[in-house]
Amino acid sequence: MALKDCSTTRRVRTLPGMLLPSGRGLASLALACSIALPFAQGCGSSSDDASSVQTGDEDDVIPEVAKTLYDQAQVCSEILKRHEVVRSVDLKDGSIRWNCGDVPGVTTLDVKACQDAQADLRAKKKAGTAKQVDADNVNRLCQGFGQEYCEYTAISGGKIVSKLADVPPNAPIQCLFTSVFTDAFPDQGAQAAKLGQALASKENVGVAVDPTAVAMQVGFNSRGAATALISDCHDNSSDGYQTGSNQAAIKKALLDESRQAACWLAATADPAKQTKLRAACRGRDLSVDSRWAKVTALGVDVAKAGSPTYEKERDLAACLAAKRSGGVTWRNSDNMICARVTRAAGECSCGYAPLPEASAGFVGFTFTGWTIDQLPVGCRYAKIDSGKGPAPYKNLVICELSATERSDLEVDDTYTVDLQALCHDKFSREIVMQAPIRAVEKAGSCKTDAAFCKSYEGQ
Amino acid sequence: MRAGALLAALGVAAVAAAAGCGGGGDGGDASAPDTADELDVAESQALFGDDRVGAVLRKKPAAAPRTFAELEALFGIGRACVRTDSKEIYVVEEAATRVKGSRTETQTILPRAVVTGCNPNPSDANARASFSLMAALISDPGAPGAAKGDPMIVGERLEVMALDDKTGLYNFYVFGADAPGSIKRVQRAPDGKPREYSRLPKKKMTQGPTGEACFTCHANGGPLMNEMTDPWSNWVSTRKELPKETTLSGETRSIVAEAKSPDGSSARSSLSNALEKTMESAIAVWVEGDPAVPETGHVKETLAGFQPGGLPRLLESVFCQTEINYKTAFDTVPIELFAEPDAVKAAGVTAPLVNPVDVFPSLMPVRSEMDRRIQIGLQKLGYLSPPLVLAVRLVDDVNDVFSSSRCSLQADAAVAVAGKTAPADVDAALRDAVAKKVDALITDAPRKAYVNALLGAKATTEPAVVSARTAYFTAVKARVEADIKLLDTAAGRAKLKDRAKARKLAAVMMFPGDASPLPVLE
Repeated sequence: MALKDCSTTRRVRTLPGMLLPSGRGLASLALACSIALPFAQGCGSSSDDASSVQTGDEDDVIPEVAKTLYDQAQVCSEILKRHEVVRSVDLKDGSIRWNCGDVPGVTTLDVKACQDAQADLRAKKKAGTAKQVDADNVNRLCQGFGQEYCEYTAISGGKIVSKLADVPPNAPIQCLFTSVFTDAFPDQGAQAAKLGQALASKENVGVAVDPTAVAMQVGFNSRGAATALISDCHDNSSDGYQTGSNQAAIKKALLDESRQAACWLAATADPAKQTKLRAACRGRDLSVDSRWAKVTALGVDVAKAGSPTYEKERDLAACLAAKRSGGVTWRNSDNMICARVTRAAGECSCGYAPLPEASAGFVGFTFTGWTIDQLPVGCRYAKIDSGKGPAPYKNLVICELSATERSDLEVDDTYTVDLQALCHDKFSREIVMQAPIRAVEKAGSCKTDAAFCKSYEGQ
Repeated sequence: MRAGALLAALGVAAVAAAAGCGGGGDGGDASAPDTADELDVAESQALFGDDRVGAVLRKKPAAAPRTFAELEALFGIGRACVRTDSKEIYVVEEAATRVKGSRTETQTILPRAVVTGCNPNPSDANARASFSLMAALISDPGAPGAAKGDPMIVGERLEVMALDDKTGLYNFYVFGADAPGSIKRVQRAPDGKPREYSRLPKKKMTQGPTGEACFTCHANGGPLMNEMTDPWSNWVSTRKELPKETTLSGETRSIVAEAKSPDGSSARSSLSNALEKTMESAIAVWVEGDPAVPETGHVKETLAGFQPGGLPRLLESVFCQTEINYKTAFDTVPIELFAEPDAVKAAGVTAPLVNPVDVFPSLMPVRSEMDRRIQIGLQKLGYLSPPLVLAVRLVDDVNDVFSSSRCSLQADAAVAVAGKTAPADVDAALRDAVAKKVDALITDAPRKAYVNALLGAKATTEPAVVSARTAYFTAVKARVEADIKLLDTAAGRAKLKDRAKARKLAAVMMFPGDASPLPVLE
């Protein structure tokens, strides 16, 4: 696959997928991304990072983007720490898990503004006048739905409600979680409406639900985006997947990332050296041997296979590659997926196919729990009849507010103007997403020589 | 039956008492005459509440469990729970034992477990099946099997709390405290004194003061989980597993492995992530009562005089503190280190990321879910309006607990509400009491203006409040952000650590002695 714009976020890269007819798959996406900047400009290593500035509307409303690999190492380290307990099980199971709840700082949602922007985009698409800026606008205004391949909304009477004033007195409120991709189906609108109708059964919500709440709305929560992320992380994991000048650039970036990871871990392990190591590494291109020599003089070295810190350091270095591969650096999902794919592709030569289509039964990453599908108290899978009677649908979760939680809203104004935050705080952190990464490996592509590769293949 | 009614019906007979709940107390009169293993009506009413324990044992007290395994089987909890994904056995490890009813620090880490009542339908948002019956298991380094890695006490004392359907309060039971098969119920009387109803097998029930120390830990008589929020320090959770090379054995290993199997032999788990939600629900229902059963729950029972302290005691949860929770930094630093969370809510202040070279604080005392919930309970009954509640929090926008200024209002509040029974009158009286102290307690202008606006408003959305809030948010955001920058330097961190340390000292002063709910703080 051709190298795409690795300087941009997944947000931008996925927009063409929104403007093109859905379901066109990876080939269309790659084509659409051919506007990408040359690698040397777009994927600079850390020496560029210090001065690079992420522009665009997202920056106004999301956590600050780390400006250097050294800073990103902390973000990655926290994300890896949050998921440390499930690492071994996930390796064994061939999956990657992360929590649906957005990291702190992701802003909440103005549903009306989002829906107005969506309507505007639809109208412009119909008239053939849609521009990138229109799609950007939708993403910016709707991103509060959720940014982890999982979106959630408070609903009451089947309608999306963003504030208590929208809810009839004493009416029940549910939080509906969906992982149905924005481009899950060729006939997305019809299928979302069908799912919304299916939620009318008594065992679900008891009333038909607004299709907007049933399938994800934000462009980057798409199959195309996820496939592209996996593909980019694969392609950028080794110079062997590149040609020409890109090959040298990738090699340089990988070297920088592994050294940055080593430096950061050394600095956190020894507070006495923190200041010196920070000065020697932060914003520096450590692929330059003369700079790295100054770091090694402080007692740092890249961990060797078999050493106690090796796996941790390699995971961290791979996570750092997410930025270079177009991932949004503070998202759990992008970092978790890219870190694993980068290692699997780079160290085990694994190849990946695009994520399966709806016709193969795959409409989004499934919800699960930290152990055995255990959802948080008060939550259940929607039950959808796909021809064999109602069965748990792993891409829709309904969480009910208890009577106490509902009545709290009448006196405690923490969430009265932000029911989206209520769903986030009450449920989303314990609702877990699962990517079946082994299922999209190209059969027989993974070698199992190294210890990590054996684990990755469940051996 | 309520405590007051019960005591009136049975009279009071003083009985010598010894240790506490967890202390092997012996409040019952063992010399009481033998009887067939049946209970008369009065005994039945006294010994059992209208709860899951009473429902099972009232007609067959001889079935009282002698071991934890029997308890599990009798009530369908723990390893006998019908759930296949979790047996609802939650485990915490601490370098301490509570075997004598008080906290004694130990050289080794010992497991404790909380076993909840088995909810076959975990998608039920209420979770009542889980919190209507809870058992606690503790370890003893001196237990017979301790040297072999089996320190849990599973056959001598079994401590259980069960939610009473009629009062909405928890009844405390101890099985096997005095002899195998013995039953003891511990209850707090309206005068605040705990009493016990105790029965040895085939003997008449006795009753009297108790040495059981249930209420030294369960200060309000409700559920307790000190480390209730992520990362749930010391609890088995998504943040902490049991070591794979654990040397635990026997029943202890069998029980502890239900939290998460150390060797991966079972996929079941009971992570404290889930216990947090169960405990939140438990506290809420215990405080507010069952919506379907009027006049139940701690707040209503206290206001009605069936629990001690009346309204002034409940107001302690608003102005001061009656219980404490403990927060630990994981990926972010608790915001309570910098500000009173409710005061700065919506000010655009978020908990900062930890400094990875120096992750702190650990187990820092913060405002308890119990106090917050009691406050909400009073709000739902109309005794406190949202503007008043927020004004009280803003009296000190730095400290959520152990605030000298906010606590100083407690006495004024008690005086102000004396003789007031109508909820609206209470709210008005408290507004007046707080308003009189604003000038003395608040020096910075934006906060003072905001508090005054709140005290004069019916709702937090009134324009005058919104206007004052905007100015306050600007000021407080700058103050908190500057404070957060302290994390970047060693000197700054030392200052912040001193704050956390001061809170710990205050918690120790709040709960002097080892017979308290204090965890091992260092």
